[in-house]
Amino acid sequence: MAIITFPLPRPRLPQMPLSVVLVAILFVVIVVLAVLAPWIAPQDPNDQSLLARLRPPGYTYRDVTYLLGTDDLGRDLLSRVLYGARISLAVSVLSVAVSTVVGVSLGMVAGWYRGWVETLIMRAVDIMMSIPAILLAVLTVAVLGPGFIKLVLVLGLTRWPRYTRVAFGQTLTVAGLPFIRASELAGAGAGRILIHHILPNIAGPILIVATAEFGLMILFESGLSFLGLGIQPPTPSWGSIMSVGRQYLERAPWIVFVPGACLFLLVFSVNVLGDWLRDWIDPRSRSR
Amino acid sequence: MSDGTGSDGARTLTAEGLSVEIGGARVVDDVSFIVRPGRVMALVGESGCGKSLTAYAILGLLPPAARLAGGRIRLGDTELLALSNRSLRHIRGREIAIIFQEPSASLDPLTTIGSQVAEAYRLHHDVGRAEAMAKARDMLADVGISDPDRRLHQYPFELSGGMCQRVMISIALINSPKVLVADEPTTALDVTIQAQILDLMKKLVAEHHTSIVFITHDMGVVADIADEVAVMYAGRIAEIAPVQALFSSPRHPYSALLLASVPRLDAAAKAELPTIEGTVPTAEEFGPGCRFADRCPLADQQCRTEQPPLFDCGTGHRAACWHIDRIGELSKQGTRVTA
Repeated sequence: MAIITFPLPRPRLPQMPLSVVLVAILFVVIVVLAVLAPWIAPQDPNDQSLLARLRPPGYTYRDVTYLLGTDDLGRDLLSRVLYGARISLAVSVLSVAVSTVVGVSLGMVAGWYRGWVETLIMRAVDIMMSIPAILLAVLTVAVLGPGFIKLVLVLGLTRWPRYTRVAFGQTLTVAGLPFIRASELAGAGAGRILIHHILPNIAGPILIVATAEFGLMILFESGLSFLGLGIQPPTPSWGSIMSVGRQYLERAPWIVFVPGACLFLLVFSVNVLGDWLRDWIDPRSRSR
Repeated sequence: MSDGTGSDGARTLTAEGLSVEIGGARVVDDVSFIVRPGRVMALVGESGCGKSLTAYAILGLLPPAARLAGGRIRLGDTELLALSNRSLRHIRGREIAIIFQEPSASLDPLTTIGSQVAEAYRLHHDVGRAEAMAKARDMLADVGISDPDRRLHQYPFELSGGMCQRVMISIALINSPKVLVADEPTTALDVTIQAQILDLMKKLVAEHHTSIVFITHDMGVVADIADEVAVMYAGRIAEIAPVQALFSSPRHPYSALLLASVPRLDAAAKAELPTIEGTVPTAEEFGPGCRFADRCPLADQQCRTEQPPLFDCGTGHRAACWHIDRIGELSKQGTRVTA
């Protein structure tokens, strides 16, 4: 008998449509700029020059060219936006991570065990969702005091109920499918089934929630920073830059416009990549 | 491990007085049977007669609405219903395995075939991933899957229904269980594939010395694969017999009528197919007597008021009917109906 060997299919490189590739490049560029901020920023982001305040993009003062203009204290907007990207990215990524982990685990546990566990978790979700998240965040920060880690925890721990709702509903659906019963009857324990079989099958909808939340986190961070409860000045974040710029919207619109455009591009790219990732998780759509 | 001799007394699985309730109604009532090593016990009946619930009760995995109301299940000498969930997990998949009706839905759509078969092995054996994969590959080859090296890396949606059922069988048998519960494993497959799967099961059962509890409503499949048959009606065993005895001389009117209603190639072309009048009673309609009484041509007052026990009527042949000796009258009536 002739032995024919087939090359084993290696895990393929993700095949992206061109539009997604462009968006991915955009996302990578933003992340790289944020990471490299200390090396590429033309100025110290906190260096004030009161004589050059509220100057438009391209303004040169004492041999220093402010490519994107200056803010109300004459600080270089480009440098502040670059540094601010670090804070905004870190806050949103970490807080989304915290709320995803907390929310999804609770939702899966509630959907798997049902009974009093479900009642306990899902009623807690109802209570959490009936309180405005921003109010909860304000209260918590007011008690704990501001700070980067506290901000991440506050945002993460107030936003988990949305993930729990989605994870709970999806777990209910998937847990009723025959293959879950099959692996239970093959002797798999609850932990194994939840992590290896249910989680991958509910990841799509959760990813959608997470990408939507990602942009919201940056906005919440700016809201809290605006109230003086988030990132403390002079540390720049996109939110705090925008909240300062709001007062000078007529005289110096670039202060709001530049970080706003960056925020838009970042959230847009995250959403597009999230959509693509959700489709890519499903092997049925991958092998085309 | 204790049996495997195949001698007359050896039992792999014993169910005694098994009862399951849903909302207070006994949907499985006092079901007892014995599965011998390397033999195939078929549970036959219409939809909703409790045959699947019986199987799930064996594995200790009833749907949430159902409650075990009594009875004992022994695997060898182990009392299954007394076991904790944790100990049951060591039995499931290793000592008792199950395959389902919908093979494609029984596989995780997002995990490769190889990982799923290997997982079944690793759940009960302390081996590395590579070793389990090699074992999975051999098992896939055993169940007649062509080009197993490639299949290992494919996903369930890339395989046909028959292929998926072969994969399910390889998952079920990779740990050489003592009992395989097959819940209508061929119902979703077309007839050619059905015959192949049945042949495969017969072959593997012989190789692995596994007993099968085979759940089906298809008398043709029963004739093909079973050694013993338990005919179930409305949650009770109506008749239990070796397969030849049941097919040649059924003693319960329900089994007799059921067999008469199977289409035959040698029947006259235009002959009307006999049917059983009426429908299965729902759980609320269960009376004190025989549950088949309302549809039974032989039924009398006693049948409606008193539940018949299982009467012996031959070697290993028992039927729950007050009129096992009047069964002959049925064929006369039957002819009248078909004429």
